[in-house]
Amino acid sequence: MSDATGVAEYTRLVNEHSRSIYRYVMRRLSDRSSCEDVVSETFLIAWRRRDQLPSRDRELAWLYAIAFRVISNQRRSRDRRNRLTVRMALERDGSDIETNDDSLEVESIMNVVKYLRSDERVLLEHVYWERLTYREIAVILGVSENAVGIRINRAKRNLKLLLDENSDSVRLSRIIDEEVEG
Amino acid sequence: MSRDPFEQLFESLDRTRQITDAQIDELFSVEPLIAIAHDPDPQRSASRSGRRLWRRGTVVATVAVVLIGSAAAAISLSSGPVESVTSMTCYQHDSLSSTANVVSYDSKPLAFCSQLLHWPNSTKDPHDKGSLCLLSNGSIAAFPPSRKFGGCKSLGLEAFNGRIANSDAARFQIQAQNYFSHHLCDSRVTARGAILRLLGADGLTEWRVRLTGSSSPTACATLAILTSSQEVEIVGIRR
Repeated sequence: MSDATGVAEYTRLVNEHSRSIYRYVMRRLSDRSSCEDVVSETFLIAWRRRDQLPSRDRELAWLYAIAFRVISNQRRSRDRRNRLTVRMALERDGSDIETNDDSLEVESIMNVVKYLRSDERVLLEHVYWERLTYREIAVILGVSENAVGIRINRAKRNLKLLLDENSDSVRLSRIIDEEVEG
Repeated sequence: MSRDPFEQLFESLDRTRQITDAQIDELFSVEPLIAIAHDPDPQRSASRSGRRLWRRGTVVATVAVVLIGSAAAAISLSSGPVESVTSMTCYQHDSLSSTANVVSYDSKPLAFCSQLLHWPNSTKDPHDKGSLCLLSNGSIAAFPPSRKFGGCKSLGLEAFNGRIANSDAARFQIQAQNYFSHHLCDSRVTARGAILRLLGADGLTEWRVRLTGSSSPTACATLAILTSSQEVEIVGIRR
């Protein structure tokens, strides 16, 4: 790929997919400056690996895969820092991005989903947030398509069990929410 | 066919579900990402600090604009005529990663930016007042005079051709922005009434107004103007 073609192709990639990548990162990270850093890092890696750019129908999943690894690395180093400074784990969830919905119900559901194994949660997030196919998720996570299918079914089963176990708290929070609204 | 029950659950956990593409464009800019390709050997620390400066100057300013409920002009990606004349960006140096200030549009953008950022004239040509380029959101970016500047193309931008696409639309954008800067937390319905009156007064009768976001009575209305599709989106944001 010549330099000029590379720049043009990369610019198209940024213009077409940067919003999707921002959404992908914002769904997973709570503070805005980390989002910007991750997206910049993602596109920097994409630029360096432009020779590996797949066909157009697969390039968004390719970018998701890069962003997924950047986020994982950032979380690992953040967790290391947190261990060193003995910070409260809850502090990590401080958000400076407006969610526009701070209802107790969402909080309760979030608490339930947190009990799901992290690898299972990650799978379901890709299914429901990005609406990716099993094949695309397999590319992102570096596992086989069959494994993705099996794990997603297991994750759904486990989430259903968790929700059934916690249905009382979710229902209660909904009632409280309605009373506050009313 | 019944809806997958988990779909709704994850939808409620998606913190971006009420953020429109227009708002993402306001929060984040693609220019620093495109600039990566024009700086093949980036000094990471330098570029990051540059980006942070840029962030302070630009993103914080635009976020503040969104948060106080003033108009967010969402412009389609275009290299054609300028479509956003409500704001412009003054850069400190001939680089997209240099400190930037988003300011209200001025009819003499170079003179204004020069005064604002105290641009030095590093060229011998007294007529070189700087360069005007188009950002991907259709707004103008002003760069100081520089011998090293390789033109807008070197930054991955189009040169500004001096034309403004639609003066009625531009006037409406300015009026809408003024309205929202004085009405920080109108309901969506009240805002729609005001916007319809402005559109009528500016002769933009074919434009459509859509209500999106939160319908809660306590939600504050913000605005996105989509000039390419002639649409105004009034977005309710819960406080």
